[in-house]
Amino acid sequence: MIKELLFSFKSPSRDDLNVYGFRFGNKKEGYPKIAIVSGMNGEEIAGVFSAAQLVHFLQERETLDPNFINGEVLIIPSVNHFALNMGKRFWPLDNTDINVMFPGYDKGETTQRIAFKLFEAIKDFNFGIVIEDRKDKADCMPYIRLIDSNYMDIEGAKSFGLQFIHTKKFEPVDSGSLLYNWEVWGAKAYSIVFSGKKYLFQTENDLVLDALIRFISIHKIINLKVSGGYKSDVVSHENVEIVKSPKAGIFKPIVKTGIQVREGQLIGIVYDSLSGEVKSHIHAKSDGIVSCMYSDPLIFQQTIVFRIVKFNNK
Amino acid sequence: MIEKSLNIELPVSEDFRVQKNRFLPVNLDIDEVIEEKVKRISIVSGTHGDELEGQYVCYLLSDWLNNNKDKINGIIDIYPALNSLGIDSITRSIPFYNVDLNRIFPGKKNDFLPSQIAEGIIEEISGSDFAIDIHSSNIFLRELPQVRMSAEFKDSLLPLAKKMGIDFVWIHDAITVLEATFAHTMNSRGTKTLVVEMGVGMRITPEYCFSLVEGLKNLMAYLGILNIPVVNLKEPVISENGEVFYLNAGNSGLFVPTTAHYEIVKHGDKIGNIVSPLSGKIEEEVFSPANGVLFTLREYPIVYEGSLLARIFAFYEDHK
Ligand SMILES: [Zn+2]
Repeated sequence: MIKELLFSFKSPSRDDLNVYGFRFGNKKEGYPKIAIVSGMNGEEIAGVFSAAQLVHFLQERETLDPNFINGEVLIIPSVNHFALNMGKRFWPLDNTDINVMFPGYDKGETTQRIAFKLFEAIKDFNFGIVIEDRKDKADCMPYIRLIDSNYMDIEGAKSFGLQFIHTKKFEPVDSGSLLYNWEVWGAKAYSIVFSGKKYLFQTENDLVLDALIRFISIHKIINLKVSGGYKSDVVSHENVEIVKSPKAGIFKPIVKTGIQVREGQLIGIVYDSLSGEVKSHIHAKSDGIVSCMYSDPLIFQQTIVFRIVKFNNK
Repeated sequence: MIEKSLNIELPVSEDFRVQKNRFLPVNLDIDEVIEEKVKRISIVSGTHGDELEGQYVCYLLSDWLNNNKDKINGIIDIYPALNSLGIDSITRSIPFYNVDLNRIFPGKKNDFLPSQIAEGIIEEISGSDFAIDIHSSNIFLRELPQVRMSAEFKDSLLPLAKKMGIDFVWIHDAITVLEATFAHTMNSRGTKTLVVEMGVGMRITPEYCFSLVEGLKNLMAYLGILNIPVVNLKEPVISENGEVFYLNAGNSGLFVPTTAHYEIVKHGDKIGNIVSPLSGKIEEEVFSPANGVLFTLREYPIVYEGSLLARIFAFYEDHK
């Protein structure tokens, strides 16, 4: 394993932004190369942790067996440490998002330059994995996200063995994402989405770490036998029921993510924030599994409180 | 007449609201106004909560209208603070969501709060013949008073911009992300909408505000909304007749300009220094890449490599 300084940015007053990559492997002929990136924003703490756990796992195994890794693995657990270290989401000076700046521009604004330098380091890989969080205030079961385009690789995504693969329609904002630009450049790219802005959940982190190890082992990048994981369901907006809060107030969920619910079941309550009266009972409108849940006690009208993956006949 | 025009319930004992001041022709009520099909203009500001030049423009214009009611021939709606939560809290985006309101138009009613706000604003202002959306750059850059427009709407908008006594008109290519702006949405729906960018965030520049108010009055006179004579204000420089040069910082540090905003500069003229407060050394000297006008200049001094320092407009040879 080599810990490499991939690039560095000078700050006027604080420490330099030093972005490190952990490079593993023997680069044997015929084996693929994979790059894994997390921490492009300062709230992707769960992603940073999972990537770091993978660094730790590979390092331990490689020490025991120098031939453990066939291909090449580059892991970049964190890019935006400046935001992470001060509880901000985006680039602290100008509040811009690195993950909308790809492929980057070396003569542009700061975050365009960061995206450019990062992309230079990772674009020529066979596989690319972005571990990211959701933009909205939602806790979700870890899932694979793919942008619906000619490039998307549903079959490949199944080798993570996570429960859901979610395909979403391409929107203009996706054109600057790392996921999309990796695909355009020719890599098979996947995004693992899960949250953990405020707490780490051990079971979710274990799921993601297992999924990463499973993926690289199935592609023979490492010499390890793994369990098969879930037989992933491919979901899109058509088989996800969106449940919204009709009222603003204080929100209390009754269920958790990963739980099976039945049509008509009470799953959340919105209270009047001053009188404490119940303003709204929130019920599931179909049978399914709660895949995402709103994660803030303050709630606005029309906020999506639950996403329920509906059972299809299987 | 001050009206609340958008009410959305917030979690704790407050409604999100947008307020407008509506001016009608004297002696006509709203039904008669609609009957007579008089023209309607909406003047909006405060989409970005850290941009305040428009606040003063709205005050100055309302003050003038309050004292010149007999000159009003149309409907003039003034909305100083579209992102009212942001304006009252120095927050550029919509607080709580960290979403730029000017990137989510036209919005949807049954979507999250920022999208509901956008939808409500479009619903409210739709039907106006004209709209002016006043921005003041951001906290980082000082801008010359300018109108910005997408090339696709140039034919209908440029003649209006020329009546406003503005310094510069920047016509840009269609950009995908800008399709989600207020102006693009309104222009696509038939309201001729001009975007004004001027001054700098978190401050007001009184001379720009005075000048824009005169420009808006002149535009409204030209459109028949105000019954005052149309005058010849200065002609704007049009971006299509030259080239815009961008100067980005090559180093991090403290940017100290050595040239004033809106100066004419020559190729090789010094624009400023990036200095290190710690070492006492100059990290980078910044020079002009062209002969032209320094129409954008960095106001916020802390820079990283890549931060925009200035923009220079240079005329093509045949337009000098
Ligand atoms: Zn603005």
